[in-house]
Amino acid sequence: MSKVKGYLGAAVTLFIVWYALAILLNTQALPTPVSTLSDFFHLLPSDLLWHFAVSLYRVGLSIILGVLLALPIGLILGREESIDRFFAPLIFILYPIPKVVFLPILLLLLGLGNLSKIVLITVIVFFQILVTTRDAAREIPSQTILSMKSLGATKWQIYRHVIYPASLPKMFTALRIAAGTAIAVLFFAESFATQDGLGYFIVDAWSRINYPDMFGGIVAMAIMGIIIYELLDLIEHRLCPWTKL
Amino acid sequence: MSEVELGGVGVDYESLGRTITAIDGIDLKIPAGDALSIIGPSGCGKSTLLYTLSGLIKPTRGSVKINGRELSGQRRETALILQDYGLFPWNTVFDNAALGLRVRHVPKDEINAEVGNILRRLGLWDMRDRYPVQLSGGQRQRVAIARSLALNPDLLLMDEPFSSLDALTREELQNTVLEIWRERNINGRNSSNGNSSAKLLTIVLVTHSIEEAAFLGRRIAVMEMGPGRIIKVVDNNGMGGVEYRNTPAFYDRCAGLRGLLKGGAREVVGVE
Repeated sequence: MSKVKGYLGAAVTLFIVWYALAILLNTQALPTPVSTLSDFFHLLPSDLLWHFAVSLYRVGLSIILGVLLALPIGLILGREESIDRFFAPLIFILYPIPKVVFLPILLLLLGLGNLSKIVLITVIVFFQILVTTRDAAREIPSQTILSMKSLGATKWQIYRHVIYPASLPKMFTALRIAAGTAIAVLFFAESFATQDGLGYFIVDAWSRINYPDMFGGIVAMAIMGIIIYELLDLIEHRLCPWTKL
Repeated sequence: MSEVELGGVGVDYESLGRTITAIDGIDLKIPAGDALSIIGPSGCGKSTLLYTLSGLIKPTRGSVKINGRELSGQRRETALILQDYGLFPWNTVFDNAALGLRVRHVPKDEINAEVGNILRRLGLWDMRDRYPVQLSGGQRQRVAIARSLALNPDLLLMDEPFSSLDALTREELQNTVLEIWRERNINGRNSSNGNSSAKLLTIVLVTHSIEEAAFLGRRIAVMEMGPGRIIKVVDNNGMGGVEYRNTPAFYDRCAGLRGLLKGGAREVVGVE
C-alpha cells in the first residue's frame, strides 16, 4: 500500500513539474499533462492498449528467454574452469558489441514480425545476465562449496542448493539493469518497419506532429516499466526472501 | 563406531608453481569415542589434516583408515563443522539443519521428525523459520551443530567452530558439544535402547585456542609448522566435566600446552 502511495506521490510531483514546464515553454512540442492524460485515456481502449500489450509481450518474453538461457550457462561458466577457458574469450569479444547493429540482419533473416525484435532483446538481456551470473558463481567462497560437499552432495546438488541460490540476488540486480536496456532497445526496434508496439505508436504520433498522442505513448511506456520492475521485485521476493530481511 | 588411523600422512599442494608441503609424517590413532583436540599455530596445516580426515582432501602420501577401511571420498557418517560459511544464508534454520538429510534423499517424514528433535534439543525450535542473518553468531553455530547431528555421525570434525564468537557464547557452545559427546558415549557404551543413535561419537576438533583444546580434548595433539607435524599428543584425562575449566588442573594443562606451543615455535624459527 505504501508503494502505491509512493508511486502516486511521484506521479503528482512529476505532473506538477511537467505542468509548470509546459506553461513556461508554451510550445506544441510539450503538451500539458492534462491534455496528454485526456488523450491517453481516450486512446487507451481503441488503440493504445493494443500497442501496449504487444510491447509488453515482446519485452517480457525476451527477458524470460534471456534469463532462462543465461542463468544456467553463466553458473556453469563461473564454476567449470575448463569450459570457461574456452568460452570466456568468446563472450568478452561479443559482450561490448552494441547488439542493436544486428537489427538489419535480424529483420532480413527473421522477418518484420515479433521474432526479430524478441531475438534482439533476448540477446541483449542474455549477455548482461550471463556476465553477471558467471562472476557471481565464481565469487562463491570455496568454503561454502566445501561445506556442501562435506554433507555428501553430488555435483548437481551443489549447483541446486549452493551455486544457484548464491548467485540469484546478483542475477536480479543485473536483471533490473537489463530490463531498462531491454525497454530502450524495444523502442528502437519498434521504430523501424513495424505497425504495432509502443515504439511505433510514439514515432508515428511524432511524425503526425500529434504531441499529446506521443506523450500518451511515453506515459504508457513508463507504466510498462513500472509493471516490469514491480514484477521483478515480486519474483525476487519469492525466490530470494533472505535478502529482504 | 569409528576408529581413525593415520599412517605417514602427508599432503602437498601447488601454489604459484611451487610444491608446498602442508603436513607430513602424521601418525595418529584415534580410538572410537575419543575426543581429540588438534592445536597449533596458524598455518601449521591443522585444517588440512581435518579436511584429510573428512575425505575432502586426498592425502599425497600415507594412509587414512576409518574402521580399518582405507578412506576414499566422504563417508556418510562423518560430519564437518566449519568456522564460517557453514550455513547457507538462503536456507531457514530448519532447511539448513535438514540439508544433509535432504542431500541423502531421506524421506520427508523422517527428516521432519529427526530435525525437529535436534532443533528442540539445541533450543532452536522456535527459530526454525528464521534465516541465518536473523541469528546471533552463537545461534548460527548451534544450527551448524544441529545440521551435523542430523546426519547421525560417528565422527564429528570441527574446524575452529567457535573462534568468531564472544567468550561467554563460546563457553556455552563448548559445553553443548561436551554434553553431546558425553551423552552419546554413555548411551553408546550401554547401548540399552539399541537404536542407531547409540553408536560412539568420536570428535576431532581443530583450534588455535589453548583453553578450547584443553576443555574439549581428552587427548590433545600439538602441531608445529613447516611442514605441519604432530610434535606431541598429550593425555588430558581430567576433562569431561563442565566445571573442569575452573579447576587448577585445567590451568596447569593450559600452561603445559602453552609451553609446548612456544617450544615448537622456537624450533621452527631455529630451522629457518
